[in-house]
This record gives sequence, structure tokens and C-alpha cells, in this order.
Amino acid sequence: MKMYDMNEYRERKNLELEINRAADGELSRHEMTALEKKLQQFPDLLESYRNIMALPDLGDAYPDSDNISAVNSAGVKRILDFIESEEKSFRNFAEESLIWFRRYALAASIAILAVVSGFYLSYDVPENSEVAMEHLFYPDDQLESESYVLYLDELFDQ
Amino acid sequence: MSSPKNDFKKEIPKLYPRLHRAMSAYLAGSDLEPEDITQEAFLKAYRSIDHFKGNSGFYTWVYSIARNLSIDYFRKQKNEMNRSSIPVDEFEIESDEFSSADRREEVLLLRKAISELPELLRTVVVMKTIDGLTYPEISEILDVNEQTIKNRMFRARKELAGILKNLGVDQV
Repeated sequence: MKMYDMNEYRERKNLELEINRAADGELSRHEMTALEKKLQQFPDLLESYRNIMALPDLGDAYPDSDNISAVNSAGVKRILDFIESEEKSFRNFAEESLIWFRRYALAASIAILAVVSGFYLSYDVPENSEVAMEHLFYPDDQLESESYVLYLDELFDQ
Repeated sequence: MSSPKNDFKKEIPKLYPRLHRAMSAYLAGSDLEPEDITQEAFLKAYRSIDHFKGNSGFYTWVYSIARNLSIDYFRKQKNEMNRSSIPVDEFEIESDEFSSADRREEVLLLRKAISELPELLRTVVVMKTIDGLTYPEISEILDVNEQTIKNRMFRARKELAGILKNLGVDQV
């Protein structure tokens, strides 16, 4: 794009924004007159300006009074009811979980304690911890090798 | 007890009519019901309230959720209905404020003209002229800079003028 084209492009863009401000009611009468004067150089923009300023108030298409209060009340009620039922189901789940936990937590603890105690008692645990370890790693075996050693001992004694 | 969820819940009755009106304008001519989208948007906002950063108001937040829901729906539909083919009568007026037939006709045509705008322009027109949002608020909802929003607004107004001319509406 040549330099003069670029300048023209920028000027057009600025004028478009000014037209928009005019349509938003942000320009004073004096500013409007100045804008119209500038637009004389751009006939297409001047036409757009006139068409835009002639547009009816778009807010009139959906006036507040068209917003039927009964429809709104029903909509709000539906949302709040839905939220309440969701909260209720969540609350129910939380409460239910708490009841189940309270009811069965004690029973579960007792059961675990009983199982652990059972294991502990079933072992003939030596008092000395070193011996206990030895028992654990080298449990008493009643294998033939031990009988054989005893047999040899007896044989030598004879 | 004050919590974001409770605060949001308290705001619903105040925000609902405004969003419903904006969605009625935004979705006019589509087969989406403004009630459905508005309700879905509020419920989604409530469920994900933890993601609300509080930089903006609840309204702009729930508005962007409603718009995203609509766009998702349009994408699913893929071929969004050709709005210009919808008869004017489809743009129903629920209130009986427009006692004169001419005035009623004018409003129907205005609704049809807005609905014929492409989504990008329609959403800006609805937010600015119908919902009364400011350019910074629109920019935040659409996540687009203010300058672009103003450019779109100019294009939208220009197109609207053309559509109304084609519909035979005498402008002021």
C-alpha cells in the first residue's frame, strides 16, 4: 500500500470511529458539524453517516416492558429450584456418608484390632528381640538334616 | 454466611430479566429458546463459581457463558438457519405495548434486521444498543480489544441501515 493510501485509510478509519461516536450520542453539536464538514471529502462515508444517523433506536426493538415479569419469575424459580435440589442431593450424600462412617467406623476399627491381635497372639514371641528376629528369619525346622545330626551325635557317644 | 455461591444466588433474580432480554434479541430467528440458554448459563455459572475471578461483574461473566453456549450450539448445528428466510411473523412480540399496527410492524422488521446480521456484528449490536453494555464491558466479554469492537459496531450499523432499506423501512 502506498504512503498516501495508508494515510487515507487511517483517515477513513478515524472518521468511521467518529461516525460511531456520533451514533452513540457522544458528540456535541459543534463536533457533529465539524464531522459533517470532513465527510464532504468522502461521499461514501457521508452517505453511511446519514443512513446510520437515520436508524431508529435499536433499543426499541426489545423494550424492557416486553420482558414479561411472569416469564422471568418462572425462569428464576426454575433455576433456584434446580440449584436447591442439587444442593440437597449433595447434602444428602455428605450426610449419608457421615452416618455410614460413624456407624461402621467403630466396627471396622474393632475388627482390625482383633485381626492384628490374633496374629500377634498366634506367634510364640520370644522376649528377646534378637532371638525373635532369628526366629523370624530362621524358623525352627524339623527337617531330616537335624535328625541326621542328632543321629551322628548319638553314634559318636556310643 | 457470605460465599461466592450465596452471593451469586442472591443476584440471580436481578440478573435474569436482563440476560433473558439480551438473549431474546441475540437468538431471535434461531431455533434456540432464550429461556433454555439463560437457565443453562446461570446453572453453569453457579456450578463453576470457583472459576469466577471477580475482576468483572457477575453479569458480564454469565453473559459470556450464555454466548459461548449459544455458539457451541450453532457449531453443533453447523448449518445455522438462514435467518433471512425466516418470515417476519416469527419474531413474536409478547407484550401488548405496541397498540398501533404500524409500530408493531416496525418493531418486527427491526428485530428481523438485527437477526440478519452475522453473529460477530449481531452480538455487538445486542450488547451495546439493547443491553446497554459499555465498550470496555463488551471487550471483556468477547475478549477483543475496544478498537475492534468499535469498528464492528460501525460495520453493524452500516449493514443494518442497508438491511432496513431492503426491507422497505422508512428511516427517520
